[in-house]
Amino acid sequence: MRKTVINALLLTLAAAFVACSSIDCPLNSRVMMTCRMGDGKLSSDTLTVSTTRMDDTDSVLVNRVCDIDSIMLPMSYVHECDSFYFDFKDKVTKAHVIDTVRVTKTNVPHFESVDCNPMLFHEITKVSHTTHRIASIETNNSHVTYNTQIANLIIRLKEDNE
Amino acid sequence: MNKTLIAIALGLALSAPSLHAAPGTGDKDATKQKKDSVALFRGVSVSADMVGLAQLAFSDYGQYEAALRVNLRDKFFPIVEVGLGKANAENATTRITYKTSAPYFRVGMDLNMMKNKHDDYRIYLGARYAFTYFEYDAFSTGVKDPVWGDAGDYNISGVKCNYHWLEASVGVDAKIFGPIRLGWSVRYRKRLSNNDGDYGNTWYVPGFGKQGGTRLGGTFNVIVEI
Repeated sequence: MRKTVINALLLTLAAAFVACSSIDCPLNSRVMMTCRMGDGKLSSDTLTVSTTRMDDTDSVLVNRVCDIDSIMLPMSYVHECDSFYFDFKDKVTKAHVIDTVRVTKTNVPHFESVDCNPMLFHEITKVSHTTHRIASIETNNSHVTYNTQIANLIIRLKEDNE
Repeated sequence: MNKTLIAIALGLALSAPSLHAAPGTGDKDATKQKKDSVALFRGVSVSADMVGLAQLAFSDYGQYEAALRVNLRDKFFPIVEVGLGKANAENATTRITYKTSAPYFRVGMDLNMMKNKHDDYRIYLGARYAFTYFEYDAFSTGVKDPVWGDAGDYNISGVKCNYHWLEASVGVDAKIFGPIRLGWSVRYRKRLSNNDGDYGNTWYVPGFGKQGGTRLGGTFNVIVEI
């Protein structure tokens, strides 16, 4: 009986020393740049956004979305400048208008835990673009993190008859 | 060995109602203790923690820790604990390596809760203030960009951080032979303030354990009491 009690006490002691193990990685671990349409929803066009990969192939990041007020775009880990091709397709005429948006940024490593995948945050330093369909782009929040609630860029489009 | 087990049992029984119960309702004069006449200074003890060594041997982090404790009337035990916390952890899945090595310090007091203060066994309740200033490195090679396809290095180096925390301690120790005592303690750590640096979080904090608001820990001490 005494041996049983001592064993139970030792087991309790061991359990006390084994701390609960949990992995505290953020639920939303994707670092994305949020672009908000400054004039409300994009209603007259469908939008496709692509970029050029390291091997010169295109990668579609956003595919033919419409009636949206914002989009989220990934940013590269190592490049100093990312180029995004915004392809606007008119819903009625089916005409394509393509604008190029270049985002210059710094890449800052971010550490949560050894259990979480390596992450890079970005600091937007400059934005340039062509003006075929896009009128202006304003930097609203230069910190690109996994908090996608605050828009990083505000994109204003030209009026249809401009 | 038996004394060690008894010491462990005594500590676990600390929460038992019998030890917290008020004195009996019998004749107060009969239970009244004689005035304690021992000297204020009863000696000093030095101790080393074995749990930290075991952690270093069997896990990715751990600490070397020693303590100097003064015995006042066998009741009050002011204590200073000094340690060197080390981590060298690599996660096989994320391939991130985290390294740190830094000293930490604790200062506080233990109270002997035994009714007979001069017994070979002691049950302690204690509190500590602790702090550490440390730097960490986190790095990974060949981090592949899932969209663009490039591979780059992920390197965070020499991030200066600090942690300040309080510890509540419950422990026991027992005289084994001569000046040698063995004992253990369970620690509840509560962070007071921290600076995690400019790159997000820390992971292992020397003396505190894995970063967070609170942490449970423990020590198993080999003590030499003079």
